[in-house]
Amino acid sequence: MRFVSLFLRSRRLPLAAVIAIGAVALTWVAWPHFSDGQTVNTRMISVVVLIAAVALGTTLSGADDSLDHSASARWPVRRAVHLLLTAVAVVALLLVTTVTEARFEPLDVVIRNTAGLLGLTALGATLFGAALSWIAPLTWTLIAIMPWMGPSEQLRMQVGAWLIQPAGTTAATVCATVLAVAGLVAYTVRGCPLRPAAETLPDH
Amino acid sequence: MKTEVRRSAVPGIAMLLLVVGAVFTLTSTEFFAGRWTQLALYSRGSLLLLIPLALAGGAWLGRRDRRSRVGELFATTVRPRWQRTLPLTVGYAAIMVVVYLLATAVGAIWVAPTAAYLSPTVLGITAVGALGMVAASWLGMAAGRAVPRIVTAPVLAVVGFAVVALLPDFVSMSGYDANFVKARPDPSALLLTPAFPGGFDDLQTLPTSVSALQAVWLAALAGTALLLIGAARRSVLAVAVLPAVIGAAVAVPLLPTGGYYGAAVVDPTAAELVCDDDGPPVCVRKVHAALLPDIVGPVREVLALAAAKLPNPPVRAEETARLDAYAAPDQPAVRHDADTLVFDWPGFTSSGKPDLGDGYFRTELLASVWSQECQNGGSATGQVAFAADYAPFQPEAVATAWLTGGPPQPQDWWRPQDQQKIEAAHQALTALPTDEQRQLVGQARAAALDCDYDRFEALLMAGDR
Repeated sequence: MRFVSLFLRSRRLPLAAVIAIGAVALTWVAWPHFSDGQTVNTRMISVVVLIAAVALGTTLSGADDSLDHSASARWPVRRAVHLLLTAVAVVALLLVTTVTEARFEPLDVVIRNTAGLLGLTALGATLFGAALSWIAPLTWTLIAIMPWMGPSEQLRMQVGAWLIQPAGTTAATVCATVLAVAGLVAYTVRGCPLRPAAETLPDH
Repeated sequence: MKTEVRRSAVPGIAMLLLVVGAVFTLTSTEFFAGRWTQLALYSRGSLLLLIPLALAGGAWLGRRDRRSRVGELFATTVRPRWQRTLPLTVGYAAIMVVVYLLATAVGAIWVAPTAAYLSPTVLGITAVGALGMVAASWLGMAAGRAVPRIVTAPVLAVVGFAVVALLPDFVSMSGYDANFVKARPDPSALLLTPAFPGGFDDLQTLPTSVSALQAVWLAALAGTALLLIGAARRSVLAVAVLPAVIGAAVAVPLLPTGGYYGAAVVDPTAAELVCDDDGPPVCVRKVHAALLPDIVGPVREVLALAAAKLPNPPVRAEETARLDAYAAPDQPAVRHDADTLVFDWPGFTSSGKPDLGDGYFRTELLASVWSQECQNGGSATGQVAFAADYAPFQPEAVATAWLTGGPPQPQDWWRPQDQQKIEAAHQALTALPTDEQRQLVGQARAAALDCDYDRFEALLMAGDR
């Protein structure tokens, strides 16, 4: 237990958790005022999952990258568990809302978007470091939620706007799965790149 | 400034935005091909993507001092903060303007070869878009300075998207009552956002006076952001919001109500007629004039058909001046004479040529032989005006089949009983002596152009009873 709490503190989880939970709570409170429906729409789900993914993406590395690569610990296992538990935590957080008036539904879409966006974030963290891991998920989400994007028969649109396709769209599911698996494998095997410690601050 | 820009995150941010902006321009070239005004407006739509990204980039740059932990060190120096921050601030904004202009310039490849008319309003529309990028860059940097966290950048981008994309939509939708009739016009404050994802009719433009007011507001907003970035003393930070408030206070009362569509005006030069008199005159609006040679052929073909078979046939053809209903809901109907064929522009392909494929334009031309502007469109009455009111489709199909000399061309949306009625009426019509046929269709056309659709139907569909 002591290890877990120290590990999470070193990864600045409290701030990330506050932002992720705050985004869900804000949407949950505001949704009934802006819409007649009880189900939060796919665009909003994508945005909330994006904020959770980028906030938790900053926890993918610690204050000093070289400490995260020391040979004395089995880092690949830790990294994989960290990422998988993060995904479970986000889905669980959104699942809680399904017993209330404003729901994040359907579950398929929530799982697909969480897995895909977290995978993309992990991929970004592996390539550019945790501090820049938000660029790819943010850009793709912004493109996908543009007003002229939507559910479509075209493969181009199904991949470009995979976040807002209805549940069961094969191309979108495949796209999310590829991102999730690639992100998980890359982050597990390699971890974040080594950066000088000065670039990372304890309080970011 | 060069060093600051080169040795910071600016090149990376600029590359990302340039790729996103250029891909956005290339995805739908048919929306602006051949028309400068439409290209400028389309770029204003791309701001929906570029503004959130410029905000995020600014936030990333704004937390640079904190990331390098040099705040205390710099606070001990004599050099004022604004002097130190100015090079990066100005450099980043300048690069963002260049990115916006380059992304627009990519579209020019599809516009320049087939454009006939460059409206002076294009300058204002583009300048406001560039100013929007400046304001977004600086607001992002100010936010990065205020909250120097990693998540500031992505969260700010999402908030920025909500403000420029979702908020105007929400305000506009709340103006409708329970029956989806516009109960309250859009407030003029909707023009405060430079991002406009809709589009105008080809004949419309955004007047320079509106662009000037938007520029005043955006410059004031940029001034506020600049104060927030550069000021060191709390007293200055406290009054930093004043420029934006004053800018909004000046612009909002002077801007027209109705949002972007309320501000749009018909560009009289774009709407001028340009004619090909080498045969029966065929005229299009000046904005489409470069493509006149492409459509003269199909139009003359229909004119020749009409001249051969109809009494009192149309002898000239001109493109309609009626605007698309979505862009201008309030339009009076303007009747035209029987000697003129008024047709709709066929639309553009993605390469900038008129869309003549699948014979769709010919079908439209044949339909416009019997069409007239009959109903005034108006949001007040809840009626939507279409570019031309078309006659009822059953008698129209009979008349068109008679004119082209073939059997009626079934459309996939016809029901089986429609098809039976139309074929029966067509057979009854062609069974009459030739002179009588000609006289009857001539009377029917006169009725249709008088907007007497009951008589049009009675004359042509008599045979199926």
